Amino acid sequence: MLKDVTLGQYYPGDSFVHRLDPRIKIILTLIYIILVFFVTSYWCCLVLALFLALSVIMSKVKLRFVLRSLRPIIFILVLTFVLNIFFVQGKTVLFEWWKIRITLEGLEQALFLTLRLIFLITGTTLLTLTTSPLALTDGLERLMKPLKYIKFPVHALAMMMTIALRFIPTLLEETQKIMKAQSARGADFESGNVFRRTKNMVPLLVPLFISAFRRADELALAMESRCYQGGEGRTRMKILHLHISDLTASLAVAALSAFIILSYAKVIPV
Amino acid sequence: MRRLETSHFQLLNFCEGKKSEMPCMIKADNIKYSYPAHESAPVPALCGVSLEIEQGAFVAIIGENGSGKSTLAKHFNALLLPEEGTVAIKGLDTKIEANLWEIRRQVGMVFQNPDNQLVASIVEEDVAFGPENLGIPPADIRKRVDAALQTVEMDAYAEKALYILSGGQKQRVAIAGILAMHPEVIVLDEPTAMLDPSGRREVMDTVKMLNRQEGKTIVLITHFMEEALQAQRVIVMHEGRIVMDGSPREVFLQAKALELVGMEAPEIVHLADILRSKGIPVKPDVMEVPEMVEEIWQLSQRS
Repeated sequence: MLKDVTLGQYYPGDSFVHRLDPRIKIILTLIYIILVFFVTSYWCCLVLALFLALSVIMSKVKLRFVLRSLRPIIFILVLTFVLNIFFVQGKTVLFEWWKIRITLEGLEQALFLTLRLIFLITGTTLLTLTTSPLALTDGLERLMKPLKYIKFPVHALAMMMTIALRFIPTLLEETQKIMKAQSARGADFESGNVFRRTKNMVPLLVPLFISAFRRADELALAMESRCYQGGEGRTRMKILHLHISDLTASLAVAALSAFIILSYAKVIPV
Repeated sequence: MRRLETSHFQLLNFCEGKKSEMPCMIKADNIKYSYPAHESAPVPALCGVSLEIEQGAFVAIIGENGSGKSTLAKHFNALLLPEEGTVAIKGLDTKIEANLWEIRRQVGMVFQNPDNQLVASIVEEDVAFGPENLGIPPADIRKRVDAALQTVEMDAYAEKALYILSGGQKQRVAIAGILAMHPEVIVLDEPTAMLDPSGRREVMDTVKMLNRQEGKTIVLITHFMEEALQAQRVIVMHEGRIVMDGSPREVFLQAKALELVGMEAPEIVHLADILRSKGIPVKPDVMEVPEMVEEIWQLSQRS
């Protein structure tokens, strides 16, 4: 069913990682992304891989789901690897034939870049796999709160995301209905080349847009009826509390950061 | 703080000459309203409507499409403001800006399409939307949300996603969202029009319960005669005017007059008319199926 899209790639569960405060998860993921770019030694790679593996195990998400996120970027991974092997030239030549020369430095560079990309994607995927879109929106809204002092519309953005999430299943259902109705009248959404198919989408998109605008209108009335007047003076039912687990996770990431930064700065000889 | 003191509200001279001992909740005085139209004269929707609705009443407003019943309902919580005349909710004039949010809190509105009035994806978060807008402390919102969901018997679904619910359940969530704002009046604008029969029953049972047990004033806009029958008072609208106003019996027994304004009396009233035209002396005030069954049985015993 199209309806499954609602959940994005959220993998419902009740693990240590799932229960972490969304704010903490977002911040820790950001730190993790930065750390990935400081990985320059095999030891660091190994430690980061172990950390990632531990996180995946603790999230109880099936490994297959985490790895699936790599599928769309396989091409980029291969391209990065190949380009770096051939174009990064060092001193230690491993292989030479005609104009092709592969050096140890090039191979290392290729390996690190590819690994970094893999770490980056799998790590961030773990965030979206273990945090529902609603919790993510909520976490982002609260994290971005200070931005409202520079007149950044934090509340409006969060409200838009909430409403968008709420209407995804509704509009998908409607799309299916219109598709069936138009198919019954002889519309064809499947055959023809890309241009033809795009053109055939018009009888689907026009009614969908019209209805979306009508819905928006009614929703605005309903929200006004319920005293909505923007973020000013608004409270929230749910307050996020930090738990011991959030502290534990933060300490783990802090230790990881310390190790990677220190080895990057060559303080730890690895 | 946004919550205003009652003394700040400008009081209208409301409910003079009221007949009932209950205080007046809604008072409309000769209101006129027309919708702007493209390249032509504005379309009049209300042409001088006056009415009073007292606290705790259960009023049904019926009328054919375009009779102005929805337009009238939108005047009750200041979604629309009258071009002429005044609307007052508990004495608060809807035209005065300072009254706006208090009026909207007092008069909750449930719309026709359940999908287009729910804001959050999770049941309890949607119910919390209203109280959150009012700036109520989190712990109190929690209490209000739990109580409201219990009232409409949806507490088992508090943490469920909205899209898995049926139409009737969604409409009950919408009602809970209104209840959590602790309103005095609930205006329902054709709340059952998009529901299947079981969903309709769910919503109507909830509405009746809110009126009888919670003492809420109910204004129900509907085009189902069976639903209007369950109200204490029925108002019939036609071309922007109130043409009939009385108890369901008073209104529905006038089958001819109803036909003139494009409405149909309940089927049982028709049946009684047909029986009478065939020479069977059915009592004049039979309106519901059980009454008719009883009446026919009585008549057959006699003959």
